[in-house]
This record gives sequence, C-alpha cells and structure tokens, in this order.
Amino acid sequence: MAKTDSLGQFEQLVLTAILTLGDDAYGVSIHSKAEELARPKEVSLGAVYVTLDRLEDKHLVSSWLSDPTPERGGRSKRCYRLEALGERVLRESALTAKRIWDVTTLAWGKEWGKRWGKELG
Amino acid sequence: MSNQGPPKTLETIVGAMLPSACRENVLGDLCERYRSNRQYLCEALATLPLLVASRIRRTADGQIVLIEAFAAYLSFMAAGWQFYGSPFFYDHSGFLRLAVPAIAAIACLLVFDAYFESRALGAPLAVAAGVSFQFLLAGLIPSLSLPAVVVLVGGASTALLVSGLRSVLQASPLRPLRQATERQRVDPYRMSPEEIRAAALRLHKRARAVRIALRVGIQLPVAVWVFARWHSPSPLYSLGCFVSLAGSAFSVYVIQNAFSCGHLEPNPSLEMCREFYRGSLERRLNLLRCAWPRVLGPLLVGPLIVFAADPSIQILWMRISSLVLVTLFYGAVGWFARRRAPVFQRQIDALDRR
Repeated sequence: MAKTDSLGQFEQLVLTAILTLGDDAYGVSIHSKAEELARPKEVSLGAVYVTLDRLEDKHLVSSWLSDPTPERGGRSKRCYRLEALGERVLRESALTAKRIWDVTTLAWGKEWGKRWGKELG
Repeated sequence: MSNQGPPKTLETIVGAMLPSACRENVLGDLCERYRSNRQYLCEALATLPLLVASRIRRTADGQIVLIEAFAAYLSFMAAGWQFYGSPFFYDHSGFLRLAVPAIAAIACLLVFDAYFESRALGAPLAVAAGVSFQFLLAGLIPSLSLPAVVVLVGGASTALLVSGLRSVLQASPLRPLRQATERQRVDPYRMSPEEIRAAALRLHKRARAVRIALRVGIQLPVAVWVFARWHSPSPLYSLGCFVSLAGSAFSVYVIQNAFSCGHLEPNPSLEMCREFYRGSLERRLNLLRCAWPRVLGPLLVGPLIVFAADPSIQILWMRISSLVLVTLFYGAVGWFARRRAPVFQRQIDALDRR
C-alpha cells in the first residue's frame, strides 16, 4: 500500500477540490477547481489524473463510474469522493497551513497578513 | 465550452492511444472540454504520457519487473553462450549488446500491461515487440546488433521464463488495474463469488498449460544443452551437465506439484471453486517459502559446476563473473519468492474470512 502520512501541495489542492465539489467531483470539475485554487499557476488535466490515481492508491479517495451522459458523447464520468482517511489527512494539512500562516504573519507583521489575505481573497 | 463534440475519427484515434482502464472517462472529459480539433488533440497528446505513466505505476510491481528484467537478460546471455561460447560476451561489448533486447522486451511488457486487461498473451507479445525493436536497431546502429539466432532463441526463452515467473509469483488474477476501475474496496484482497469462480476455472484451465510450458521451457533447453556438451574432455564438466539435468528435472517436478491442484468438475459449486482456489494458493505459498531448497538450489548446483569447469573460459575473472552473475540471479529469485509469500497468505486469509 502507498504511504499516506505525507501529502504534496498538489495532492492537497486536489483533495480540497474534491471536498468542495461534493457529489459533482469528476475529472473536468476537479481540474477547474484545482486550477482556481492553484492560481496563478496553470494545472494540466494529466497532472490531475495522475494525482487522483495516487490518492486512490493511498486510500484517501474512492471512485466509481457514473451513468453515461449525452453531453460527454455518451460516456461515463469517473466520480470521486473523499474517504474518512482523506478527510483526516486534509484536516491535518489545513491545520499545518494555518499554523504556518499564523507564524509568518507574526514574523512579517499583521499588515503583511492583511495585504496577502485581501489579495488571495 | 461547446456542445458540439470532436469528430468521430479524431475521437477514435485518441481512444486507441489511451489505456483501456481509463479510456471511457478520459474520452468523456476530453469531449466535455472540446473547443476545437487542435485544442482537443493538443490536450489529448499532453495528457497521454502522464496517463500511461500513471497506469504503469499502478500495474507494475517493482519486484516482479526487476526479476523479469534479470530473467530476460539471463535468457539472452544463455542463448549467446549456447551458440557462440563465452568469448561472445567479451568481444565487441557483448554484455551491453545483450542488454538491449532484454530492456526493450521489459519496456514493452510494462506498456502492454498498462494498456491491456488480459495478461495471458502479454509476455509473448511484448517479447516479440522487443525482439522486433532489436532487429530495427540492428539496422540503424550495426554496432548494437546481435546474431538473429541469439535474439530469437533468447526471445523465446524470455517469453517462457517471464510467463512462468508470472504464474508462480502472482497471487491473484485480480490486478491493480482491474481494481482501480471498480469502486475502491476496503479489503483489496477480498473477492466476490464470481471472482472466486472465475479464478478457480482459469487456474484449472491453465494448470495443464503451465505443466507443459514447464517441461518445454526448462527441461527441453537443459536437455538439449546437456546433449550438446556431454562429450567434454573434462569429467567435472560432464558431471556438471548431469547434475544440471537432474536438478532441472527435480525442480520441474516440484513446480508441477504446486500447479497440480486436483480436478474441478464441470459446473462446480462456489464452495468447490473456493476450495480449489485456496488449495492452489496454499501449494504456491509453500513453493515460494521453500523456493531455495526445493527449486533454486537444485537448479543452481549444475550450472555452477559447469561454469567452474568450462574449458573454453581461460581467464579467472571471466569464470568468476559468470559464477557471480548466475548466483546473483538465483539469489534474487529466491529473495523475491520469499517476499511474495505474504501476498499469497493474505489472499488465503481473505478467502477464509468469507
């Protein structure tokens, strides 16, 4: 089984995208959401597929094929959802990010924190 | 985004390039993102290498790939040695030239596994592709060419050896590829009744073929080799040939036993299928646990005596390098076999939990 104790930044983005999208999490929607979260960086569709495969191997997400839809040329979507382990790992990552944010704001001043907070929305 | 999808021809071409396990959803995603033919093709071509790499990562087992690569190299080496003797290795970078078809065969094997669901013909087809690549390369770079007989005989023995290793070392007919296409399971070793039935029937069907392949793949080459070298001036060399033949016969007998798991009636019940499959796993588990004393040891002694007494090898370091290489190969097979045993045990435990 793949190691689950460490998550890369892109894996965190994809997990967050799946969490946000809920039942509508599949390749295209996850890619759009990950691109939105990663801006101004661009995200390729292939990178999203590779990461989804890796997260599935780590048992952080699970997937299934939906019914075919006409707008996709009669093809099925591969839908994803967060597993309990994925939620736990994402929560830990979010807490770590929060701690980093708190410490850097303390070190570089509250003004810096406010300015970046506004810019990042 | 446009509602109009890509042209059918373009979609068929892209579909043919995608691995079967992810073709459906990736084609759907690309269709949904379609804006123009150019954008569609560019996106498909940019996605394809990553998808193939990801499939290879999921379908390939590092340990088995390594051992298959070792087996392929040794097969080509054995073919070279058989037809041209030991000077073949040391003249004109023989060791390097022999690595080319072995690497090509293993690379093709990895790609075939990533693309196709069925592994039955995977090894022979991939080796055939690797051999074709070697012939192509020989035309382009003559310094890397090998005699056709070495490539063909080495390729045939690679296909047999790799198929045999896969039969022995792979616990379940379920592959990561297949598991990945279905909903994630809590217990990756758990099998549904249909899967147990299918696995038992497949094993029953394959058992006879495996036994024949073992005789043809191990005993026949050893017998031919021994016959060709029997009348050597060195009695130690002749003894090595005899020990090789006896060792291979004993090893084939032991491996055959591991694949003789009884008779399965036509239209068997689920319980019969489960027992049959469990018995087969247990026999192979025992084989892996005792791989050294019962299979590899008897196979190794003969070739070691032959290499030590080979009158055609004059220089000591050449003799030692041959001995070390053969011992390393058998050592690696034994080590991997022991490491594979827990996988079979987990599969048996999963069957018992049902």
